[in-house]
Formats: sequence, structure tokens, C-alpha cells
Amino acid sequence: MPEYTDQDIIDLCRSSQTRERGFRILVKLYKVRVYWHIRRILYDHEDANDVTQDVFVKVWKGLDTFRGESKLFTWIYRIATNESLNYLRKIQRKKNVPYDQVAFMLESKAEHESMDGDEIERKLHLALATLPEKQRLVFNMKYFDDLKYREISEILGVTEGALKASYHFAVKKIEDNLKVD
Amino acid sequence: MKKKDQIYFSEDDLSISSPLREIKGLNSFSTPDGYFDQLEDDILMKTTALSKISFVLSQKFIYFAAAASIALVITFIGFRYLGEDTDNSLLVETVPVNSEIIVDTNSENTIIASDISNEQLKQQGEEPIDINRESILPKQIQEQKLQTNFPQIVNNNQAPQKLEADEPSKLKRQQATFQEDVKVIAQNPNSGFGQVNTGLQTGSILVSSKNKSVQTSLARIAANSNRILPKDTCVNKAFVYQLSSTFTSNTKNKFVWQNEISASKMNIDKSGKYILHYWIENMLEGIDTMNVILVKKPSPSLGNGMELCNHESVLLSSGMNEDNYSFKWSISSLNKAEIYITNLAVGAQLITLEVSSCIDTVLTEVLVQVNDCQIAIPNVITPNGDGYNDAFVIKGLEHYPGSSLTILNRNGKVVYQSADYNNDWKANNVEEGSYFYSLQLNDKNKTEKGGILSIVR
Repeated sequence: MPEYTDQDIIDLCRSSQTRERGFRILVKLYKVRVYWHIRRILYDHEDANDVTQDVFVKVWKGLDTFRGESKLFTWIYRIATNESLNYLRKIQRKKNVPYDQVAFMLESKAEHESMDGDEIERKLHLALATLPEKQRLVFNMKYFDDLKYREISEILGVTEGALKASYHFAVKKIEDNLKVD
Repeated sequence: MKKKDQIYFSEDDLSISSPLREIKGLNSFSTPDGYFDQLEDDILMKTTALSKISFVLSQKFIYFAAAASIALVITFIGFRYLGEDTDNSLLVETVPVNSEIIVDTNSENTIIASDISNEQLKQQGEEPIDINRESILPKQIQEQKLQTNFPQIVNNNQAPQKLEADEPSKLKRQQATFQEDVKVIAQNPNSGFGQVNTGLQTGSILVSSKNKSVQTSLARIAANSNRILPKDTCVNKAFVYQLSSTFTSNTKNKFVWQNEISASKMNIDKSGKYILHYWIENMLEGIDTMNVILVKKPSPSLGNGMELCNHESVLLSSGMNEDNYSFKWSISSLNKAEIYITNLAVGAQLITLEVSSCIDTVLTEVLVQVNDCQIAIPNVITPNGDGYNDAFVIKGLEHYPGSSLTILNRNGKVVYQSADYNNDWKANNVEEGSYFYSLQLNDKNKTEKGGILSIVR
């Protein structure tokens, strides 16, 4: 597959004749990152799979309205983040889980999902699950996805300063958690 | 310790000693084998399905837009407007000679006029019109037809442009399709409006509605739901109702009565509502009801004549119940099966009664002898055998048979008594003088009358 820039993909998607080709390239390019981004929020593979597909369907529907004001990938990340959070809310409502127990629910999921990993990885995910939602998102994007503060700021609509603080506190908490044993 | 809390502002702000550094890049979560290929397929399948739908939708839109515009244009070409109507009303003077109008005379109507060739016209004659022709399908069915076309279009991968080019010929036959309330229909406009028969009609036909009238030489008048059955039917004996020959049961026409019997006939043997569910020429579906009143021919009887006193009140009965009948008496305005007659003139009176059902009228009459039933009691009698006033004769007593009479002397001693006085007391063995009589009339009130009776020989 030749290298395509975001702009190439956007251009392909603009014309109705090449839209499907452009979208296929977009999916190839982003499916793994989007999936993992969602998986780290939701932990459960089946949940993440559903949401990932929904995200790409939304992207497809939204291509017409995508103005190119932000970068393609920050736009997709934003959709993915919002969809994931919406999904969490939905579970919360459906299972009638009080908000303070979402972390507990995620914790058990994280524990279940990271069984194959090392002890320290399991601990990492358990620690992550106890983080406030915003800190967890920032940590995920920074630590796992290697996104820049500027990019995370675009995705979440939060100032870089606030992100840095969030990330710092997240790292601190996780480190403390890992050091306990 | 304070320094440790310092916030790092570098892009990679993990401290050298952070345990996070060691495990960075490791992934403890797993996905099923080949998941990401599957994911891509799933996503593309979903979005392709979406695009198919929008493709169909857009085609549908194009089709309807084309149909609408063509229909509109042809409507404007095909009809000339009369007058300078400024409102929305279309006053149509004529339609092309060989055109066909279908009128469903229901309140919400569709008039469909369409071109048919002379050849088609000849073929048709009085035959039922081929309902499969697009032009005479009602709008709904047409739309259904259009919709069912779509899968084919998609399957054939026809371009929308092709579709547009193909359709006009088909649409042409739908010309002048408009929704109107058809109020008045005349078969011959010169002789005024009148009933129009259903089915294929030729001649000078004017179809009028609130806003529009259309004149044509050929029209197919579809059935009005109210015209399949007579609205109210009144009969005096059970019968078999047969739908008019316009509505023959066949592959295109279907008639189902409320008893689930599918037939063009219905056995009507009692009063009530008869419901017919019909499908006519596969296009008009409806439910029609017929209220049937089954009422026997009236058979009133006022008896063989009667006698009564002029002041008497007597019930005169026709011997019928009042349901479904009306009564017209010669001596009363009451619409009743029986009336009281009173205060009639003395003499023979002929009383007539006209009993009508919704279908029959029967006249009957009775002769009534009205008597003057006033009684006159004399206050003196001369029982001397001269033939005058020899007996105590109470005039009019004959109208009160069974009346009792008692005659007392001055001392209160009963000298005569009769339970059924017959005007025959001649004061036998009674001396002259004054006596007291007491008469109890055998009338309704057992009226008592008394007075002084002088006996003079």
C-alpha cells in the first residue's frame, strides 16, 4: 500500500467516485490505532469491536461534513473517544451501575482481560482502571498512543496545561500503585 | 520530596526511574487471530450497505421527481384553462377526445385521465378494461409498483440516467392524474346533471368537481363505495340480493359478505345491516353496508263496526304494533296504532286508517254508529191505559243496559226495584202520589240519578 497522507485520503473521500477507495485506505490506516484506543477505554474486546465498527460507520457518514479544520486522525480519535465514553454511559445506565462503581466494573474487566500479561502489566491496568476518567484518557493517549499534548488537546478540547497536569497526576498514581509491592 | 511533586512539562515526562518506562510498548491485551482483517471487512460491509441504501433513496427521489415533473408538465399541456381563475382551481374545458377518465366518486377522489389509442378503444368495447395498464391503476398501486421496481434497478445496475430516459413513455399514460373531490357527474351536460352509471361510458360526459370540470367522450366510472349496495333497502319479504351486473365476481372482482360468504348474491331474510367487503378490478377496495328493513305488508283491522255514545271515549285499535309502520287516521293526527275516539258527531261515522311501511300502504276503514246517549227522565207518568205516558220511560236508557232502578214511596218503602230496568214500570198496584226514584246508570262511572216522580191516573 503506497503512503497516503491524511490529505490524500480526504481528497479521495470528497469525490463520490473515489470515496469508497479513500475510505478503504482510511480504515486500513486507522483501524488498529482506533481499536486499541477504544479497547483501553472499554477493556472488553467485544465491546471495543462493536464501538470500533460504529466509529468507522460514523466516520463514513461524517466524511461529507468533515471540513478539514482539524487533522483527520484527531477527528477520528475524537469520534472514537466520544463513542467509547457514550458506550460506558450506556452500560452504566443499562446495568444501573452507580458512577463510583464504574471503576470497580472496569477493574474487574481489566483484571480479566490482562490475565495473559505480566504481573506488572496487570497491575498497570488495574491501577489505570481506578483513575478518574479524564486522567485515564489522557494517560492512554500519551503513554500508549504516543500522542502529543497538542493532539490530545485537539481531540479532547482541553488546554495543554490541563492535560499535562492530568497526565502528571495519572502517572504519579500509577507509579505509586506499581511501587507498593 | 517536594521536588518529586513537580510537574514535568517535557513531551516525554516519565522519570528515568518510573516503572512505566520498563513496560512501555508492551501490550497485555490480546485480540483474536486475524481480528483486524475481519474488522476491516465488517466496517466496509456496513458502509457499503449504507451507500446502497442512499443509492436507492437517491434513485427513488430521481424517479419521483421525474414522475412528478412530467405529470405536471403534461397536465398543463393536456388541458386548457378557462376563465382567469386566480386561485388554485383548475377549470378544464376539454380533454383529448380519445382519453379516458376514471372517476371514483368517493369523497376523496382520484381522477385519472389517460391517452388511449383508437385501437385500444375498439378492443375494449364493452369489455372490462384491462386493469393491468398503468394508466388506470390508482395512485397507491402505482406507487407500490414503482417501489417494487427498485430492487430490479439495483440488481441490474442501471444508471439513474437510463431510468429517467426510460420512464416518460410510461408516465405519459398517467397524464392528468389529480386528486379532487368529485361532486357532480353528468352523463349529458346539456340535460343537466344526473346519475352516471358505473363502468365504461361513452358519449358526452362531464365530470365536475369543486374546482374543475372535465368533458370527455369516454370515461370509465369507477364504483362509488356507496353505490355498490343500495344504502337502505326496505322489503316486505325475504329475498336474494344480487349485485348489479357491473359487479360480477371474477378474478378481478371479489365480494365478501359479513358472513364470510364470497358471492355476488346475498340471502336477505331479516332486518339489519349487511356488510360487503369488496375488491373491484383489483383496485378499489372498500366496505359498503346496506341497511335492510324487512317489514311485512301491514294488515290492520279495525273490526266490524261499532256503536258508541257521543260522549263516550272508546279505544279504536288497528291490531298492529307500531315498529316500522306509520299510521294515518282520518280522525286524528296521532301516528299511533290505536287511538281513543271521543266526541264524535251523532250518526254513522266512517273512520279510515292508512297504515304504511317503508314499502307498502294499506287502507282500512270502519263504520262507527255514534248515538246520542243523553238520558231524559220524566217527572210524571199517567198510567191510565190511554197510551200516553203509561210507563216510566227513561229516554236513552237503552244505551245503558243493566242499569238499576229503585222507586220508593214517601215512607221510604221500596215499591219497585229492578237490576236491569227496561222502561216497563207502569205503576201497577201503586197509588197516585209522589214517589222518589233512584237510577244507577250502568255506565263507566255508575252514575246515580234521583228525583221525584208523580203518578197521576
